[in-house]
Amino acid sequence: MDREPPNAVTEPDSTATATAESVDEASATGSACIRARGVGKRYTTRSGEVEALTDVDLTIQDQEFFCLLGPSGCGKSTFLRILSGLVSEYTGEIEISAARADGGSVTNMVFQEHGIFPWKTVLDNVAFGLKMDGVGKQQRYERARAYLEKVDLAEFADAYPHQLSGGMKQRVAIARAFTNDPEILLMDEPFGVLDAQTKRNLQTELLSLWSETKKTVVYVTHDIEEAITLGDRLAVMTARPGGVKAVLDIDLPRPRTRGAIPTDEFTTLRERVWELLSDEVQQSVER
Amino acid sequence: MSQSHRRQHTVGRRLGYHLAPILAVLLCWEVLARLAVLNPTFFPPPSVVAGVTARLLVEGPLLYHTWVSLRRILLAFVVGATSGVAVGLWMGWSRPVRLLVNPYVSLFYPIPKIALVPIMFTLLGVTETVRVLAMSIAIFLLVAVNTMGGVQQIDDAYIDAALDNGAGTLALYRDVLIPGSLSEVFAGLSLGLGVGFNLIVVIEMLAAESGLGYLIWRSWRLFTLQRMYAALVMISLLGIVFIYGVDALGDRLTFWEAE
Ligand SMILES: Nc1ncnc2c1ncn2[C@@H]1O[C@H](COP(=O)(O)OP(=O)(O)O)[C@@H](O)[C@H]1O
Ligand SMILES: [Mg+2]
Repeated sequence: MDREPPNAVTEPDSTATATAESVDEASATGSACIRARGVGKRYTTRSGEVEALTDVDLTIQDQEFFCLLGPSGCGKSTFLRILSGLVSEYTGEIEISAARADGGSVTNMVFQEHGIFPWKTVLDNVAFGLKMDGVGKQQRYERARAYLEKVDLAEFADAYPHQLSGGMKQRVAIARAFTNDPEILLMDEPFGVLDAQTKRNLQTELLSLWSETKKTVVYVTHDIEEAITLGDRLAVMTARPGGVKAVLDIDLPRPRTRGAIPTDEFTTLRERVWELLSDEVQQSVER
Repeated sequence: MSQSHRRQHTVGRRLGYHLAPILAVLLCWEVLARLAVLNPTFFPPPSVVAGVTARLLVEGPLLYHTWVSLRRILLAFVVGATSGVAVGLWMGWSRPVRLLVNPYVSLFYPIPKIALVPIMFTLLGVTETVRVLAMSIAIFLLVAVNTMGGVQQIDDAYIDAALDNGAGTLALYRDVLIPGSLSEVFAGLSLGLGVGFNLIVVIEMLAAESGLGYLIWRSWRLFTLQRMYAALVMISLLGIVFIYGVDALGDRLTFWEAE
């Protein structure tokens, strides 16, 4: 985590920000990490053109947990894929100011399903990104094991994914992402298919990993409560073609463990987001 | 582990399913031939065939002909399978390559390969190379088509995950495309071997002076039927060992698909 200090030093109030920050809680430092300007994307398919995104303007702060909420098919995945570089043809501008000294990838994705390889052991899956970056076997296994420990899968290092439950597989995916140590984590409905209890456990684990490592997270979900539980801010997207309808601050105290979230504020926020979202969901259903 | 246990169990059971009817037929045959319901001149009882086979292996030409056939099929298999896997992977991954190569593959794929053998002999002469080549082309086509399909059915999510984690072309093939298509590759190899065994027998019957197909045909012509049956036993054994061997190896290597 050696982010370049020069920027922060020349910032006049950088010391003030640093002292104001609580020690055990990660939060945004206030400098832009991702800037999207007028981003649009059209897919050309056999049955014609599909406009997936139009005119997306977003600024995501350094070390922020940013949630992207929208009806299904509104282009959330497309946006993440553009950020990750998997989709390279789009209009508009994306500016990512994070950089890595070791030449590794700045972003890393956690996919909803199937992101981990069934033909590799849990350990090899977690160490895969490091292998691709040319990290030696011993070193990459060491780092992978450290994160397997953190997600409680140490004893499954030599198991294969088909021997794990859905929740455990997603833990593997998360361990891989953190092992890669990217500046930005892109998470595409990572807990979307899990049952409520597993989901809650994994959310808690994710938040604790995030506050340890202070990474910027862009988290896609269609679950309002999840977005409010996890995020520093959330953006509500419009129905396809997706754009940003509104961006809200989630001023809830952290750590957001179960029971620690003030119920009234949570409910108010949920109602507000629901209102913003319901029109869009309606539209995407009617289509 | 319990995983491999279950696998051995299924392989054992599958072998049982295949073996039981064979044993039943052999037993009936034995009894009917002994009772002279079947004419033992045409249908010597299996026990006699077994004895003749053993004797011919030791002191007769059977071992030599078996070796000749085995060498042909192995050569053809190695050439056809390696080229088929390589071209199939490439076609599966690269759209331009697929568009370029697939029309030719699709043209030859449905043609009964045996019908092309005389053309090849005409073009290139009746040589050992052509016999092997004819077989390897048949194996190549089956393996290439299956491998291509295998690559195309790989879930995009695996490919995305690999690319997102920084995989280059080599790593993509090694860590995703090959393991992801492995069960189809093995299905292709198994089919290819099946076709290969058919072809070797026919080619040896028609255009060879050695090999088990030659021995079967010649024994029939000379009415040395016991010898014919002995050759039949050997080619069947080879077929069983190789085809089920490849199947079992494929199952073992793609253990994650066992569920
Ligand atoms: N590779 C693709 N080719 C063609 N259309 C696509 C492709 N990927 C996504 N789309 C279309 O773009 C729209 C947005 O998709 P996506 O980004 O997956 O939405 P979301 O993740 O919000 O559900 C959908 O209508 C989808 O069908
Ligand atoms: Mg999506």
